[in-house]
Amino acid sequence: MERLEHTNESLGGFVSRKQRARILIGFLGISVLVLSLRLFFLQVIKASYYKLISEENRIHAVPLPAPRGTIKDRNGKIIAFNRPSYTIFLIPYEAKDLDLLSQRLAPILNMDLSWLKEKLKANWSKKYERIKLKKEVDFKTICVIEEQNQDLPGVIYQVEQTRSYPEGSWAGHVLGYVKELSKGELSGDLVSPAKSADSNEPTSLDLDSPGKSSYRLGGSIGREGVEKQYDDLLRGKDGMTFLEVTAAGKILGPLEDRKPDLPTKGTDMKLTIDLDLQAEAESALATYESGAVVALDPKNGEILTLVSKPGIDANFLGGALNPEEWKEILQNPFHPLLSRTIQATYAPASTLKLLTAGAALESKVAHRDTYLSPCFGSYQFGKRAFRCWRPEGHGRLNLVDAIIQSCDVYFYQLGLKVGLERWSHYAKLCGFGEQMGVDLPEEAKGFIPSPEYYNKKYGKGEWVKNLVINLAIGQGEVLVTPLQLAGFYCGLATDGTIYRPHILKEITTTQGRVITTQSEVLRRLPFSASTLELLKEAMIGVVNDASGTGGLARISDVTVAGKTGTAQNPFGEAHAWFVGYAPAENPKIVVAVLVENAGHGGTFAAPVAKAIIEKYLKRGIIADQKDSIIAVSSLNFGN
Amino acid sequence: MIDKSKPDYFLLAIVTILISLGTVMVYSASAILADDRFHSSIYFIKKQILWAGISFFLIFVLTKVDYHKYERFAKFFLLFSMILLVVVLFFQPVKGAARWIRVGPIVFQPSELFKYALVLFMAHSLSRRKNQIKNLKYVFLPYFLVLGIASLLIMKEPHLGAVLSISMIFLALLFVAGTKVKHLLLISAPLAVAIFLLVFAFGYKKQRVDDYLKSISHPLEGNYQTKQSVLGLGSGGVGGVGLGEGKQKLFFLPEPHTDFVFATIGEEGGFLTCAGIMILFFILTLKGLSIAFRAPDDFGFFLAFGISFSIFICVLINAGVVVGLLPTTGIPMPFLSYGGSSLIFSSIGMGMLLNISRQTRYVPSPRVLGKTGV
Repeated sequence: MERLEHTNESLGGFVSRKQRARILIGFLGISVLVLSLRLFFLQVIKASYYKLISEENRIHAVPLPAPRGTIKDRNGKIIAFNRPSYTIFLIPYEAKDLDLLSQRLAPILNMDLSWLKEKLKANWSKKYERIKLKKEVDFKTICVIEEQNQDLPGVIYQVEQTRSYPEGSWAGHVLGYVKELSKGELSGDLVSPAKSADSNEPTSLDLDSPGKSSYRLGGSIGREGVEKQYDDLLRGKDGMTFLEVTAAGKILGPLEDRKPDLPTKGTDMKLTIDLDLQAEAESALATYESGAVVALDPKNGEILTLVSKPGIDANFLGGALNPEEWKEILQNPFHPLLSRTIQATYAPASTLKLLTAGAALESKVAHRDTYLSPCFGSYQFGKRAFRCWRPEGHGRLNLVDAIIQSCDVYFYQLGLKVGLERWSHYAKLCGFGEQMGVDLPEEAKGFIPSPEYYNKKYGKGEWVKNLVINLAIGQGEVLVTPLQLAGFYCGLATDGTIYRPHILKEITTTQGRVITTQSEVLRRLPFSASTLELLKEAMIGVVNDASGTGGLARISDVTVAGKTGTAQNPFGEAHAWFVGYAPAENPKIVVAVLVENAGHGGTFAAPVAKAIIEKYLKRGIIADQKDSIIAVSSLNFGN
Repeated sequence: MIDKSKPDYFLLAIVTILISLGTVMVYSASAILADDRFHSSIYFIKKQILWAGISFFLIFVLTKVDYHKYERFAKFFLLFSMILLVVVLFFQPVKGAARWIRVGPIVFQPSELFKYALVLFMAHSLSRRKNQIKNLKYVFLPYFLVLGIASLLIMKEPHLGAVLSISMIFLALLFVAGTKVKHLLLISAPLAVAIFLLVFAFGYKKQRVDDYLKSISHPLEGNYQTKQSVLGLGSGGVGGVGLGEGKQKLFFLPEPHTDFVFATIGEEGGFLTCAGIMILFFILTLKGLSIAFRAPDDFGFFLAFGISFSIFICVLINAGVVVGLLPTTGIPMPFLSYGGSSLIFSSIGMGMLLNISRQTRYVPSPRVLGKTGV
């Protein structure tokens, strides 16, 4: 064993070794210091920041969809609710063999094999994230899947809520439909953009505020109609449950220290629509390809009926449409997507004669017994002959009779007396040419030509005043929606007051409070009481006078008043109009009927209006009686 | 001849603490992973306990074996370990690297073995030639030849981390042996250039290096492992989330029980535990160096020095990776990380060190010596 000798030489080496070792120890010390400082920085200074991100790392927020509010008609009948339905999902982690599985699954789900494969492949990488395969699968398919579940690993089904419309055929226009948000829509202007997640120092996590961005991918949104208009109310607030997940997304279970936010059900609402009346209007229009019916309560503007033909099934629109079905809808010559009552505009034809008459009376260019040149079937103005709808002519008429018999020649002359400027002025005061502000989306404005318009179109002084001749009988460039016309007649039926038409009657908040929509006066017709009196007399005559054009709207024990219209249509048969109200002495309903490509208004539209009015008023009597019986019985019960 | 003096119990206590803590933490870090992979939460800990038992046994036995007995095997070990470095290249690579040799139940890294063989060989050789240490030709070149060949072989696996740690131990030994600094620089310069070229010119691990540079200042923008590791440490805060409560091991952190066990410890034990462990390792190293300086001969000195230093270098590299200051290398944390290879080799080293500690002689304190010295 050699022992270290303390010779000078070795001592020298030893000392130098010591010194060098000290340098190394210094190096070690510095390293430990650096590591400790780094640990201090990460674990003490930045601890809360990293903790926050780490939480986000492992928390998977799963939305709990809020049940959408139920929609009922004015009598409490359900017209939109949530129906449980089966949705098929696939979890790739459990499925393992993509090809084999899609081969087995495609025939069961009745899906195209290559399409299915494509869909699965696109989502395969996220092993634990379920892929939605098919919605609204029928019970029979579920049974098949249940039977073969040994051969279909990873295939699961779940009950989801699907929006359902028992009265689907017309609901598409009034109620609209509900459909999932797509990726594009979510990022587009449809919804407010989500908080940008890539800021360097997030102060709070997105999942702290699941309600902030109320729309989410895969969530549903109301489209068209009431579903769109009142989406905010109907949608409710989605909840959120917090699951602990692994890095791969495998769910370990609910997060213990974080309670789920429960969803808030959407607001239930009652519409002003009368389901029975709606059905009556549907059946009254049944024989026609296309048309529209609007029924309003003139006392408050409530929309009782809104029919647009051809109808479109909300259940169908809300379901999974394939491209062919969609193409079919778009190429249908009758444009079923168009809600004719509020989105389409038509020439009002003779129904607008009451505006011309009112304007003439108010500007004192005519009165009840103004007789103009007699009608011999046409009116010569300059070089052009303007024909009356009745070739044999009406002879000599006063204003009331001219309305009752709808004499065009009389109104050509009256229009010239009123003049374009005044006519256009009164039309606008009556609310034409602008939206009524109904609580439904995409209301059309219609159009009232003015001198300014013609100045622009033809140049100043380049147009002749005979343009008003056509406008006076509701032809030419004037365009109105059926709703606008119904609104105008609400004013004519009452003391001139037009309430804003609305479809929402009341809502029931989550707290159970019922809030009823307050009726709002939209405008008053610029007609004096005597003018209105005269127009009413004429409208009663249209239906009840032997010479009236609207005789087919007559009802035995109720006085119906109204006006027919026949709008010339360059593409075919004329559009038939009838707008009326009843009972004349105390109007409860105003109905505007448009039948496209039918012919005379008195022949085709008036009977439709009659059926609706009859249904409403007769049933109203029965309902009133029932109410009083109930009131009496409850009184007795109370005693 | 061997005196009956007691081994350094303080050192033994530190090692015992570290191995016990490691066992607990390996269980905490691996249970969920083991359950997921092998449907048995004790899959890893079972083995780790076995290895810990073997380690304690080896420490106990080797403390009693005179370290001088190893000297005559030094050259043989070196040759043997270098052969294994060739052999390992024929084994099935794991995650793209052929670092492990599997013989039946035994799985180990020959680079680990080589590290200790090199320390042993250099202790033997340097103690014999200490008078020629300043002679470039006779002493220096053979060492570099050995290191050069071994480095190339380990690079082939590839295992850059091992090359770096071995080179650092090698240079430290030469430095402390009294080699001229000029010579050290002269010889290590080509090595540095070679590594530099490998990394940057040939793109080998360039991505890792880029990730690394970025992740020093922004650990979350670096590579995935560093990000998860830093998140784990950060979540731990000062006091930790509590034993077994860590979340990063839920498959966010890859290797939560092996190379990144320190991150799991940091999450569950917090800054205090991490700092405590760093201090324990620092004391362990100082103890080892103190034993070296009190060793009865130069062989003992170099052996003790080499063992202590190689433990510390591993700690430094591993912790450096975990805190996001170094690129990921695949160096385990001595005593704490899961894995028989690392634990048993470290324990063998400790056994040797403890034996040297039993043979120490009294030396005046360095301060006094420094004053009286030449």
